[in-house]
Amino acid sequence: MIVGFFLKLVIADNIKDYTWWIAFPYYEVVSFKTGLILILAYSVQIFTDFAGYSLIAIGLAWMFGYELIQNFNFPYISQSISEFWRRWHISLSTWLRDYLYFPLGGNRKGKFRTYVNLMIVMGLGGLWHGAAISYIIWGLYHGIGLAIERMFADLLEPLWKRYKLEGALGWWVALAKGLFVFTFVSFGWLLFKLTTSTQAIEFVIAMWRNRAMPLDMSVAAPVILLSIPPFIYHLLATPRGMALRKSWSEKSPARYRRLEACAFGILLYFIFANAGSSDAFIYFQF
Amino acid sequence: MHSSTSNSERPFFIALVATFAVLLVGYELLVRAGRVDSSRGITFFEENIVKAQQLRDYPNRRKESVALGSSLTANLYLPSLDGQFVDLAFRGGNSLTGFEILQESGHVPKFILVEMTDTLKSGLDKKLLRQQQTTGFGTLRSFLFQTRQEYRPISVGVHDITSEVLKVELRGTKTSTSEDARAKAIAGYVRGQSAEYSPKESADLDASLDALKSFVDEYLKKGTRVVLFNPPVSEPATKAYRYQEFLIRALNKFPPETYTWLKIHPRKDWVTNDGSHLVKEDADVYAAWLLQEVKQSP
Repeated sequence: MIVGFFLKLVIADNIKDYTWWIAFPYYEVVSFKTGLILILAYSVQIFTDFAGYSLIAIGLAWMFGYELIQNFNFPYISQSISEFWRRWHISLSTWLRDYLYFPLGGNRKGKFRTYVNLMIVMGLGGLWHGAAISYIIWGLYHGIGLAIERMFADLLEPLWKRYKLEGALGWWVALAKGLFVFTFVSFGWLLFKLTTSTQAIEFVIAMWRNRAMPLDMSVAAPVILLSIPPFIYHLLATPRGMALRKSWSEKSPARYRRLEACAFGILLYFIFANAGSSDAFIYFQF
Repeated sequence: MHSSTSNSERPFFIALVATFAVLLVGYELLVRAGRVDSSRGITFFEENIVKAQQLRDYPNRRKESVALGSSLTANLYLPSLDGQFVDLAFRGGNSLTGFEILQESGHVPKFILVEMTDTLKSGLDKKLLRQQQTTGFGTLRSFLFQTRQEYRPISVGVHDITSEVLKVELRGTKTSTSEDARAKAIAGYVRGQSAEYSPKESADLDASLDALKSFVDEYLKKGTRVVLFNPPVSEPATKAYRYQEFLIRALNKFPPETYTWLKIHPRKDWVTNDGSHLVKEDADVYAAWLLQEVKQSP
């Protein structure tokens, strides 16, 4: 629950005071580099807001004896769009899989039908968020992404395995995949943040038009600083991070536990000293 | 139900509370010892809170002149030109919110400069006022300095990194906008200003002007000199419906024969970033002229 409150009050509620630049007409004067930083900022905001909210709910329920399912599993370390959807808003994505994707035939009716099913399910998933065209487009954006990803996987996986490329390139491939998925997902959030899909396109056009303008450090510096804790939070969930935590906890369990307690103490202090101006949870509108 | 804290968990909780306490006490000592430079606020909202809190928390820093308004006035940075000014111009806000905060502080200045623009139609900034009025926080701020917005650790850290390490000016008025982007933004602003007020906006504006009049009359009765002014905007915006309509209503409510209005600057070709916010160079020119006029006005 402490982590949940930290993500919501310290990160999401502070970073939101920068992401208002992603709104008409303010984005007309946003430079390309600043625009990229703002897209990163909104990705961090939406994750910390929603994951924070979920963790607070899980913690509160646990105090009353209920165990709720995990709703976020470090989604921004995903190596593919399908993995992202296994880690993001798990309660919704599981529902979509069980009650829409499987009844439509899932992947049992041939490749083409699988791609179509993915687009239908994600389009409807977008519509779940609200009766607006931009949400349907956002859903279809992910559906098309999933379909293309599946298509590439069908074509490339045999080659990939045959030449053992995964093992040869290892960490770099993982990093490139992770960055690609994060970028893909982040640009998709523009359809969430802006009121119409036209504005999302205008935002990207304005960024390109203003590409000669410099990076606004008064926006970039705080956003990057506030993004560090969620970044570390995700790093700890990578295979390397998990291995490191495991080795520390096995080497000296008592010291590791004390270290954990100190980390929670720091989070608690920042909740006390640096909570942002309160704002409703983003997902309350859906 | 889950069991309460067991004996094996006690060291965990002790370490957690101890860390919290060390940070709380350590940072407070640093603040009290003057080792922490206060931040002016790293976001627009935070900048507003810092201004409002400073007026309330530091009675000895109160000055005889106060500037009220929105970001249009905040961007003039009057206190940097005249040390006798307190800046109560709130970004995203308006003069009405400034008056409310001024009244709550109990401070009666000798002179008040009031921005008159249609930002008034948004009424009081309730979020900022709620933040100010929350019971208990005022008291907490008086003995635990780190709870003052200007000493929030992240804000102080960001302020230090941007101003000391990266040497970036956090001043709100920027001139980094390209000509192309500026033209597009101005066109968008003028388009918005050309739309007629909706019935709700119209009613809100009238209500705000009424409320503002009450404040102005109250301070005039207290002996404060109140001067109203209309800051410059891009020329095409001055021809737009809302600009004109606002002035008609404002002059109706505050007739120049009864209230003191600052004359309009003769220059027409002001450069703004977005139609209403002057670029840094022009904001400096206008601010210098404004202060000179204020000194000369009756």
